[in-house]
Amino acid sequence: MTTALVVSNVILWVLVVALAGIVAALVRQIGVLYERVAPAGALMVARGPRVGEAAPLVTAQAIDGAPREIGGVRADARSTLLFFLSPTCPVCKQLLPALRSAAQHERAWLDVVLASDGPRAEHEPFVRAERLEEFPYVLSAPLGITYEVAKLPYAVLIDGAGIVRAKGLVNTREHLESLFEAQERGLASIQDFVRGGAEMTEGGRA
Amino acid sequence: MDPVIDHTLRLGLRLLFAAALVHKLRDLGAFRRTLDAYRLVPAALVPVALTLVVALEAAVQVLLGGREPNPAGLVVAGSMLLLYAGAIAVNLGRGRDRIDCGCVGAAGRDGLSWWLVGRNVVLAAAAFADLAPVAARELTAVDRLTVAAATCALAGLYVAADGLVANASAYRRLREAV
Repeated sequence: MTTALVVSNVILWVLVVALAGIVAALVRQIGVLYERVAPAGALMVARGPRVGEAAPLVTAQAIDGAPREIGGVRADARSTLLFFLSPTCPVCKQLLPALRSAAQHERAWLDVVLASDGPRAEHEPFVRAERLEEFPYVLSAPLGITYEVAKLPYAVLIDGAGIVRAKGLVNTREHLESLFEAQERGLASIQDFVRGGAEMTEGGRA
Repeated sequence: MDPVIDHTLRLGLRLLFAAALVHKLRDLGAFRRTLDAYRLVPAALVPVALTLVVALEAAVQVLLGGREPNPAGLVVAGSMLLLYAGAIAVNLGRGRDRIDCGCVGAAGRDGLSWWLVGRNVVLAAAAFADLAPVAARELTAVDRLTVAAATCALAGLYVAADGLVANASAYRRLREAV
């Protein structure tokens, strides 16, 4: 009798541990699904300069003290990706590798500028720790106010003619890429894209 | 209290604190920035606080490692967990919910939440509950199996619960978007 109970106990424990492991793995997989399925494009916030409008010229102070102009027509016709971040925002930190690879891939036509605000002493250790020396890093509260950045990380894509081409809250690599996609296709947002797709389907049917 | 429960709780707490300690030691710079971001100690005292936290987490390992129940280790472990809960609650109260939690696991990666406070309070309650007198009884082979398997199961469930909390913000975003 005792042997039977011990055996049943052993088997039950093995099953319980296996089940706990499976539950943990399932939760992890659901997490990955959420990340992938979640809003396919950068979430547009109807604030600040609209897509298609001219980006106001703002002179911001770079972290090394040099002034830098953001917006306006550029002589070399290169585009600017303005990436708003903060040293205390965990999602911003997660996005840095994606930002770095995007900057590398699109370097032929794009400059990445990191933007934040606050005292320089808070940002210098962050730049060193995350090795962000390769990017211009500007500290300017007026810049954030101009684009009405309420949540981070936030990105604005400005083309060489100083026109806002895409913008939005970026939480994942896909959101970041959707900004480039929006510029390539000449669409302001994911909403435009969905509307365009629907018209094409209608046309096909007719 | 039966010694099996005592052993399971102590082993579980040791596992938790070991994971927390390894997480901190792997990137002390990040832990320092986290302490800074919590804005609870003056900037000049951050290195002192950092050393203290690491030392206390290491002390939990030693104190709870013995064969006999150790009230001091349990009090240190429970107090640390309450301290973390308090630190998170204070920053939530200040509205600073976007700072890095500094927690081990996935739950704190999107910032702070009341779930993290609740979780730490429950863990602290478990540590303090283990202060109850433990019955004298020799551990048999079956008891050892119970302790080992229950600890594994608790660890798995902890990771699962941690994952659910981590997913919560992504789930909310998804619901808001649709």
